[in-house]
Amino acid sequence: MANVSVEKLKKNYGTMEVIHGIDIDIQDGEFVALVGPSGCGKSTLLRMIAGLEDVTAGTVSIDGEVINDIAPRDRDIAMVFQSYALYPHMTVAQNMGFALKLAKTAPDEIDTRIRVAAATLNLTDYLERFPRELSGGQRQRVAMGRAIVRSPKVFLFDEPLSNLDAKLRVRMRTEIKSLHQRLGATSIYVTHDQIEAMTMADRIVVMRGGYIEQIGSPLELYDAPNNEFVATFIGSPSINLLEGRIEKDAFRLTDGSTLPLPDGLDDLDTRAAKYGIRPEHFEIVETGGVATVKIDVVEPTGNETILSGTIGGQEVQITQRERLNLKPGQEVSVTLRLDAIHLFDANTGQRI
Amino acid sequence: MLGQSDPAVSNGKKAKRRWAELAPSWLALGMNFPTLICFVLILAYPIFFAGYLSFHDVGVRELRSGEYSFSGFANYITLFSDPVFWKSLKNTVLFVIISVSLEVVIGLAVALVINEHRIKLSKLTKFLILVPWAVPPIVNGFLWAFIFNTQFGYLNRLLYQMGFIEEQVIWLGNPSTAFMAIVIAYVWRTVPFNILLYHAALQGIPDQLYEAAELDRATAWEKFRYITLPLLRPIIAVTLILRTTFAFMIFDEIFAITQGGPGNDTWVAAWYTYKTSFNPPFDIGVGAASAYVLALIVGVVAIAYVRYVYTKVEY
Amino acid sequence: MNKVTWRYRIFMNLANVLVICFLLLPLVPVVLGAFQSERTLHGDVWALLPAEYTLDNFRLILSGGENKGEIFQGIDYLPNSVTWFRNAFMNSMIVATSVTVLTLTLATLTALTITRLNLSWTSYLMNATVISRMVPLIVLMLPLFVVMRNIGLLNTLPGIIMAEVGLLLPYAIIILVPYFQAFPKELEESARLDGCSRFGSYVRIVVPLSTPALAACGVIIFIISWHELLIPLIIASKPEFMTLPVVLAGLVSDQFVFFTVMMAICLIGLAPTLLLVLLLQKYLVKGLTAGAVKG
Ligand SMILES: Nc1ncnc2c1ncn2[C@@H]1O[C@H](COP(=O)(O)OP(=O)(O)OP(=O)(O)O)[C@@H](O)[C@H]1O
Ligand SMILES: [Mg+2]
Repeated sequence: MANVSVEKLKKNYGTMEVIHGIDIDIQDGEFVALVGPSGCGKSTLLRMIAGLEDVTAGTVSIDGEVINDIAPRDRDIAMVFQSYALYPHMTVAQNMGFALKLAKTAPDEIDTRIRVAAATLNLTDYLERFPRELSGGQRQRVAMGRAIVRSPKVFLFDEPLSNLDAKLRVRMRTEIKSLHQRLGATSIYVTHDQIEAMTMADRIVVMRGGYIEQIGSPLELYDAPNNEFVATFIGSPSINLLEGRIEKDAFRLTDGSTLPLPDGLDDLDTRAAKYGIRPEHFEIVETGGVATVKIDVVEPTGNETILSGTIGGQEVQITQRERLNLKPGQEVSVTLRLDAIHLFDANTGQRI
Repeated sequence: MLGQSDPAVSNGKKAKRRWAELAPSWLALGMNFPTLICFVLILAYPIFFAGYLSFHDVGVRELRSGEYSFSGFANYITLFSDPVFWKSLKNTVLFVIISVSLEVVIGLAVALVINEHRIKLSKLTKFLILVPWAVPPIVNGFLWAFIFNTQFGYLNRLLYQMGFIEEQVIWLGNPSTAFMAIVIAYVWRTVPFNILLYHAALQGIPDQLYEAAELDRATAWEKFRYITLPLLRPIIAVTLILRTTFAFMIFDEIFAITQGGPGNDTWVAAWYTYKTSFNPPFDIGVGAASAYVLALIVGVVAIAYVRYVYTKVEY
Repeated sequence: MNKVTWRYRIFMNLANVLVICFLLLPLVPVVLGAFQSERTLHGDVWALLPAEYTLDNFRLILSGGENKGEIFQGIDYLPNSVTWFRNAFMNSMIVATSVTVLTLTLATLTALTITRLNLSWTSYLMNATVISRMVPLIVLMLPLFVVMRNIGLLNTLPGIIMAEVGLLLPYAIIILVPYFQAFPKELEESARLDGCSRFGSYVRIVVPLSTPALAACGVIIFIISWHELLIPLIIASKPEFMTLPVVLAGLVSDQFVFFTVMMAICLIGLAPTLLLVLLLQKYLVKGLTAGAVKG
């Protein structure tokens, strides 16, 4: 049970600063996902919390105690690695019991804890096997098991599911989530996959280039992204961003056609901006549409239909719940949900 | 059930002392302390000391008293005006060129043979490759000395039985055959190393390349010339440099087979140093000077090696 | 690949036979020499196979000159090598084993720092290592002789061991570094989070998982130490401290008289490393390859 906080945390590799003074406060029992493009510093941040990388400046603290200088082994943190990092020369049981053994826990206590964890993770039959004799999904579970038998203060995950195939990933996602709900331990979870982040996390930290772009609950990020980057990063298919200018009462696209602006924004200055609208916020109508979409590709996925096309010469994607009988090349008339429109400054990318 | 961990255990955790980790640089220093001592005591210091000795008058008497008088370049002058030294150096260079070329050529040929996994016999050959390397150099020397011996040597016996010779050939009494005897003995013992490296490199060449060449109707020779050889270039360079530095230090076979003879016709640099320093008149100063000259030559090759292997070639 | 033509098959088999002859034939005279008497050897100087075989050479050597068997009955002068042989064999064992253990320990520690700790000076350490390996032994011989003489380690086994460890250490490091480099970082990190210190993670995880590499390196070091002539030749001038190669070297002056005895000694001298090489061939190949080319 612990809260974790980092303050003004910086990391340099040589002279290159890769993390530029970030602050995050994680509550006890919270599940926080770190997302961001490759190389943005997610792993580095996680490893600093674990103590595997030195802190250049700022502090990492658990329960209010600064732990910058405490050895990883004394931090009471467990980490699940992308490669699982199972000890190849130990059986599943030995892998799971290693930390307890080092902590000089009584053997029968170790044994019970391993059994309980193995039962939770459906590993009971595999306790005497070596990691090389397990499937990818089983290895992943052993890695989880190794973390949970310790009942540590904090769980760290660095892309734990990215080596699994798509189906297994979805299943493990659910398993990890339910595990977290049962254990209630503070968890920090790094992932590339925004769906994973959205579905699992209480809060998401979006990072880019060593800075934090936004912290918030999944729906906050989805509904009110601070900037263009967060808007495009969250959501799939991703948000449509149309280039143009804000004018008095409408948004003028680069080809001269216009789109309506949300109410209450009428007094904005004229300026270059981007018009953001998520694919599901279009509605295809027979009459009374505010814009025309020229359809290029129709992709039915079963539960929805993804349409790719252009508005005013700019590409857009639209998703529709209904099964539509549309042909490429056809033009359809659409209305937009005005309350779900995000405007971003063309230069700064910030939300207007 | 998992969440409610045993309170006693959590308390145990709290009570545990928490340490700052030993800084990596201190850990590194600690872990390398013995190695550093070894490097300094057995490598660095002796190298400088050898330099020091080469500028001093050092003989038996000086060794006993422990006082060496500075003699400037006298040792080097003695060395460079000694025709035997030049002869040794010339022999060494000749030896290096011949033996290293042979090692590369034989090494390549044998590597190609054992690389043919479709022939069962290749497995046995592969298994035996390291046999010569297992023979101690001094034993190797005696072994070849026995083979080349005039009266009872097995080479003469074999040639006689095959009808090539009528009377015993004096292999080791003739400068050029004695020299070749040493080359053969040395190459036999050292070539397995090259074979191994070439074999490893050959295995790294994907079969598809040869299959593609096959489709292009390449002959066996063309495949070797345009696929194998270019891809082996880096490893050949590595072995050339590495084997060169080692061949410069040839000693054991000389010791066992010819002792530098006949006369001083098979003296080499290392033998020169050994003879001058550890045999009467124990001219250790001159010996050190000659060793330094050898080291200089090897050093140039070594630097080439380090630059090549540790910067360019990435395996 | 495509099918093998019979012509190619014959050619390759012949080539293999040729290579096997190249590898093994030079050893035949040693065996033939060791199992015959000097008289037989001199008897027919053209015969390939001896007229009769005997084990007396080995009896003589293994008994240290006591058991003269039949053929050495009337001979009073025996080469020193015969009397010193057993002691030299023991010395060689002691030296090679100690050198292997010490070198392996130090090299492991250093290779671990070079590969596992990102410090600026460890790369210099690696460069120094690579260059040290190239230093010609003969340059070090004189100063080592003088140094050992001054610190009283001349004519001692520790003196020989120390010198050999120093000289083999760079090679061992070079062999081990690529193995440790390839070792996944996460395993060590995982162990550190599980409660190991940095050093503890090496001892408990990295080293146990590197046993094949350590074995390969160890065998190579053992063999090179077993083969080493120059160092013990210079450091040990008293028979008690001579290793096998040095005692063998003493035969140089006796070779015209006792060829068969010499071959018997040679055979016993090369047996241990030959056995090691044949038994541990797989490891050795990896180690030798790793040592020459960066991993
Ligand atoms: N040991 C290192 N030395 C130098 N630079 C490093 C080192 N480790 C990471 N970096 C740099 O730090 C930055 C952040 O790396 P990090 O591994 O944290 O990214 P990441 O967000 O985890 O990316 P990914 O999603 O690909 O795992 C990158 O630009 C990377 O190049
Ligand atoms: Mg990462």
